[in-house]
Amino acid sequence: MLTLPEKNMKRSLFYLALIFITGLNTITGQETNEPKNLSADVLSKKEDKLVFGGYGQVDFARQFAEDKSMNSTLDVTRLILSMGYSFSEKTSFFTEIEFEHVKELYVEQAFVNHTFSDFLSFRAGLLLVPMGIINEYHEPTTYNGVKRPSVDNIIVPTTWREIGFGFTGRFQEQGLKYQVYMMNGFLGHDGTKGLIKGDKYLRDARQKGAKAVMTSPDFSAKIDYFGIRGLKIGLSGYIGNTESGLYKNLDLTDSQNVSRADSSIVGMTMAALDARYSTGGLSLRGQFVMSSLSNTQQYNKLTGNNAAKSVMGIYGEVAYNLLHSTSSEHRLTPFFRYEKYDTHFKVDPSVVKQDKYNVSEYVFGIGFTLAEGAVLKADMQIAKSEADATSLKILNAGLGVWF
Amino acid sequence: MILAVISFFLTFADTTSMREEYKKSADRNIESVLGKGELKSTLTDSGKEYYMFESAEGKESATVVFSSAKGRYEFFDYMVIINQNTEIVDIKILKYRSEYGYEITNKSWLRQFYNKQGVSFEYRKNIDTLSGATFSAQSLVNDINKILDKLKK
Repeated sequence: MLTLPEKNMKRSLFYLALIFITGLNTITGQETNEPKNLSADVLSKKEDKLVFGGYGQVDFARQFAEDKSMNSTLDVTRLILSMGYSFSEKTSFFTEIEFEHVKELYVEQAFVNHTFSDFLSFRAGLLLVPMGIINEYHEPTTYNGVKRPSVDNIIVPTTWREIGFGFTGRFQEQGLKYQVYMMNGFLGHDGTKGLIKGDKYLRDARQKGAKAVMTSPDFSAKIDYFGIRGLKIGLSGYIGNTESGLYKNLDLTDSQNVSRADSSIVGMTMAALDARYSTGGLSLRGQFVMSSLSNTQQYNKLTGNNAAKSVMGIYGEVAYNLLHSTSSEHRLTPFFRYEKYDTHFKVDPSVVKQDKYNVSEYVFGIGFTLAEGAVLKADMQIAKSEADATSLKILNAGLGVWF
Repeated sequence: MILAVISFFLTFADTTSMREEYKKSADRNIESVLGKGELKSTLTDSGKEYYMFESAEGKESATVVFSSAKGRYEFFDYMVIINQNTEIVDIKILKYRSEYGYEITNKSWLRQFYNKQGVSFEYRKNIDTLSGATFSAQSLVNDINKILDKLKK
């Protein structure tokens, strides 16, 4: 229990500190050309130990259908608050707290990073799997269109993150960046049902670091090349087995249940090649991703699911900033994206191949950047599967921010 | 009173200059661009350190500036070499701390600043956009403009 004088003293110290910090800010924060003491700037840098940021999007969507009445939907699709704290020049912590559709709360990233040198950093915690473009760079101001590309939703289950550790580093002279991680895999079976599906592939099998189950660890790696001006190329790979709840308290002498549990595990690989190029007002990007599963025959037999042996996705996008050659600080960027994905690219003989999982998508729209980090978007998304005679048409509009 | 406390505190604050911090890598770069010589401190202003490069023959031939700019979350440190026509002849990112925006270390992108006289740089106009590095690139452009403005005065 604090006595009254102690309390008062604590309070005065607090105010003193507050005045001190405010005073310091007014000194270091001013943007004048007056000569300043170097240490003032060094100090102001150190004050940035804790940084806050965030991103979010609010979207409108309306589906059009013949002979049917449809409602529009309005959604705060996601709102993310990010925080970084530097314990020292070399050690920091970064986290993102996400609200999806207002009501669902997630932790999207939470890891400690320790930098030994430019070439080598260690990190551990809840990490994003480096796969393709969007899973790592998924802030709405970094891509065109209201929604993320479907390939980066259905084939690469963005935001794909699991708990693990690994290393990353950059070779500045060569323009290379690498990431290698050992991390937890998908939950292929939760103990009662199989979570890998014919239509949604691995999307429902993500564990997201929430009381995650691990039978064996998986491996993930990516190399990015940024040595040519305007161009960025990435090659990502992932390999491992899915995890299974059937191994919990499994009696190893019970051969029937052991074989059941073994059937609930599938081996999984995924590889992606992505490229981004920009010059002047023009920007191009594309991605190709393939993934395959092994042991699907046993898995499908056990779960009754129709998981594919392999899936694929590809997209290409072109965009041009119409205001590029003007003096405007805004950007008005029409774009067009073609996507093709098939979650039944190859199936076992026991599975009926579904043409409805083989989809082509055309998305065209426009983005208007109000200021760096704030964008208004609208687009038309037309999707048609091989099984359908007519296409699905959705009008999307929304706003995105990143700060 | 508060000012007195602050200036007292600052007197004892860590004052390692960027020049000292990056001596090895900076000197290597300076020598490869300008040849042998030495740096003479001329000015420290707004956290930027200005040095005059004096060649081995005793000729003042360039200005070397060490500065910091802020990316999305973290500061990065860089060095720029400017010749007597106020043209940039070299930029080296000395330390890039953040995971975001490291693409600005791309040499061919940095080369866009080189040998342009009397130009005010504008990101997305006369300096190409850089995927993944909007904040850092914008910030570097602004910071370099400030240095050039200062030198033109």
